Amino acid sequence: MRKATFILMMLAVMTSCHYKAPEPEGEKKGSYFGTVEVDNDDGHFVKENVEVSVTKEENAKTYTIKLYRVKFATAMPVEIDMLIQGVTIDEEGMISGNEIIPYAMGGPFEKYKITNLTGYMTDKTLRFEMICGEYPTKYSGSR
Amino acid sequence: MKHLILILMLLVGSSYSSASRESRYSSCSKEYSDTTLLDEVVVTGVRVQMVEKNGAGQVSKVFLERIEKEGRNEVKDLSGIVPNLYIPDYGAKMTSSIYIRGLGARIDNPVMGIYVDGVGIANKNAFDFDLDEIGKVEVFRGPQGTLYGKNTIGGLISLETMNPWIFEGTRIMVGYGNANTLRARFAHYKKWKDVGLSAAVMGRHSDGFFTNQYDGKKCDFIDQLAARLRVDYKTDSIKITNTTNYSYVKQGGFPYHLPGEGVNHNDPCGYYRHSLVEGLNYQVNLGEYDFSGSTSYQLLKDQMNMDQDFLPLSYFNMSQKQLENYVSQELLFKPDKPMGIWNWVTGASLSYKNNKLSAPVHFQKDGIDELILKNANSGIQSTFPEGEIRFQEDHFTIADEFTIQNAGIALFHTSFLKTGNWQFELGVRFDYEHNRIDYQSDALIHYLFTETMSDYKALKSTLSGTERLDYFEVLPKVSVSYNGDGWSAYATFSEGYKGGGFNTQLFSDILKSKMMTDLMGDLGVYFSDAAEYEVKDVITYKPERCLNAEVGAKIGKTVDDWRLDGGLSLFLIEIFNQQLTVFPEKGTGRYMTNAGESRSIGLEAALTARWNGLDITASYGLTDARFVKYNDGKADFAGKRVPFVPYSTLNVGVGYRINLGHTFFRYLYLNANTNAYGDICWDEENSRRQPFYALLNANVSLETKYFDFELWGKNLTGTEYDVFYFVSCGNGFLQSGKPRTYGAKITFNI
Repeated sequence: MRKATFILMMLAVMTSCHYKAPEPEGEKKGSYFGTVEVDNDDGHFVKENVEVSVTKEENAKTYTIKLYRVKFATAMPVEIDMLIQGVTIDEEGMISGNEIIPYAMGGPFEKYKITNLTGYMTDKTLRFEMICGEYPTKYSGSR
Repeated sequence: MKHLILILMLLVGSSYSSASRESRYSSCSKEYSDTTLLDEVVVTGVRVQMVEKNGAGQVSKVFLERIEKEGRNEVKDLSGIVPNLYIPDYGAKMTSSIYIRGLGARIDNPVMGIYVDGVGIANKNAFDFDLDEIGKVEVFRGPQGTLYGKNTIGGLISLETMNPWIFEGTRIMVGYGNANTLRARFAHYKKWKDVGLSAAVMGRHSDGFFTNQYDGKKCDFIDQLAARLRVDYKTDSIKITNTTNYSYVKQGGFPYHLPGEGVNHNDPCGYYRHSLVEGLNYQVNLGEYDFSGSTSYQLLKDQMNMDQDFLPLSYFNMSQKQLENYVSQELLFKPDKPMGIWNWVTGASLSYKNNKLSAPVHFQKDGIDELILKNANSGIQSTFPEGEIRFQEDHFTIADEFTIQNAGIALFHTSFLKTGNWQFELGVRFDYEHNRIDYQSDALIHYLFTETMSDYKALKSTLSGTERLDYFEVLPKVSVSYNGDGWSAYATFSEGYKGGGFNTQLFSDILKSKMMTDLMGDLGVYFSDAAEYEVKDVITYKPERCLNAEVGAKIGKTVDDWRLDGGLSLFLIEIFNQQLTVFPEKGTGRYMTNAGESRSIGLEAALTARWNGLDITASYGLTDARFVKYNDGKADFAGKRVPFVPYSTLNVGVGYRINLGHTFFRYLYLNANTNAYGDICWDEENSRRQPFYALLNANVSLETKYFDFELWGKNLTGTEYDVFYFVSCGNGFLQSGKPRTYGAKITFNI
């Protein structure tokens, strides 16, 4: 995660100012809003009000969990969108997944492989935890 | 050179074949200085005459004789001889920055208006022209907004072209100087009973003075051609003057260099301009009242090319083109003669401007690598040696297209009340302006983040929209003066404003930033602490207000055989809502805003003394202009001097005419003068400055029966000085002042 933070800090140097752009439409309908917690080298990091959507993939068997504008460390100067694809959610809403390469910053990010993804989803609640790269990460949200 | 000699021989030959005439070009200024004569024939300066005759405040006058004898060939050559007026010679002919009394602007709206034959030049890019066949220049110092509206907070420069009521015949001039500088002029003035015709053609070429080390060529060459046609018609009750001015200029320019180094840039820099100003002035006597008006159409088409890094590297360059059409209508109503103690003028004006501007910025390989990708990739590669962001292109263009429209309407009135030796002036003007900009800016690149992407991905950034700006201004003026015998004293208080508008130069910054933000957004990366603001907030600036208080005295009298004219004034100017470029609280970039206040305190003194062929002129201006409030988001500049404003200006000149007492060799003129300026701070921190410097100029002129021959020199001591400083891409650049120049010219008045 430290590496990712460093990269993103460097990328921040590229830009000068941020002009208002329209929010992406579509997927976000029916999103959950909640808290991301990460145990990283700097301690326990919490980010509130993180939006997460869950959408069924084209194969109709697996799902994609997308975290919008999420941070994983205090020192991270930017927020990123991260997609976790190929997630299994059974009829009771139990979430599982392993060895998933997330999609972020324009492509697959192998260094932040998702392992031990577990959790559950209802109409009103979404909770899951996982190991993102080396760091235990939890999400708890509702709608 | 052979051609030049041939031309001179032909001209000399033709002059000898002409009938001998008494008219000399120097006599033009004597006739021209006769105000009564002017009033009878000229309708191009009704307001100028009202102000000159009745108003308080200082007016500097320069006549044809001085313009030609001192070689003041361009508007910028008025610097110094008008106290506190400083028009630096830098960049190109589009630059035209005017500073006076601590007021000034490098870009956008000017602080002084320039009128030629009663018609105001609409675009600052056309302010820099040659003073060929200009009979009289009057510089009104201090705000003239009550009668002339916006962008006259520093004053007004009014020029009157030559006409056959001043000189009838043909005037021919050919001159040659160093840097292969050739000037030529032909003018003819013919008068019939009620009709006068004036026609003039002027041309200039110079190889330039500064060499671009990159290609070994002169980078400040200039080719220029101008033509003027003026038709006057007058009867007892109707006066009409139509003046058409056309000029073309093609030049190099922007000879900027790093301190201690020469000019060295790889992309071409230059400027060309077509300018057409058509002005129709008319005055009808309706018995007890005079009705007058001015209708003008102006066309400006120009293009500037600039290597914006000013280095022999392929960073980025810009090509800015504009096509502007402008129409204006002014109407004035005034009594034919003062109504007892009361004299007045009332008027209205309408104007419309349409400007189509294209300003693409071309990023090249060095610019992409050094200005965009270097910072981003330096950190990435230290962590991921193989990872980096790449652009597929080795160059790309940020295209900026604008349509800017401006419409204005104004009503104004000024009353003059004269009782005994006292005179009062009360004036007010109501200005309404509507401004609109339609912008379209876009760029297309293909990028790759090697850590996550295997192929380049297209990214197009677009910025388009419309912004509007409306404002209403009320400009009052109050003054009182006491007129003694050959002297007067006055006090005046007035308000002026500099127009609001849109800073299009910031659009490439905006789109460059947006492009990178879009790229980050495309990667799914967002800046949690980024500043968010609208395009309107970045480019729009509102009018700048100026309150001016001034006291002064003037003299104009003959003592023994000495003719003395002069003036002394003290002024205090407070500027509010000053238009400044600042940095946002979050993020980087820059934007225009009305964030500043400044104060100018100063004095001006001018004296002209004439005695039996001896002319002594002196003028001195001192300005202490400081920011009262200016925090650009990075530093607080309160108390610092306003950059680019000279702390003082000085001009001293001595001219002497020797009567040779010979039928062919009539007079010998000797003239020497010095212009001095400084010191000048180059930046808001006041950390860099040009020390006070002086330029010595001189000329010797022989007036014969048929022609005048003159040798002239400017900056004879070869003083080294700088006229401009700025920072680009983190580097500070200077422009050096012109070196020693010299030459000869021959003039025929046939």
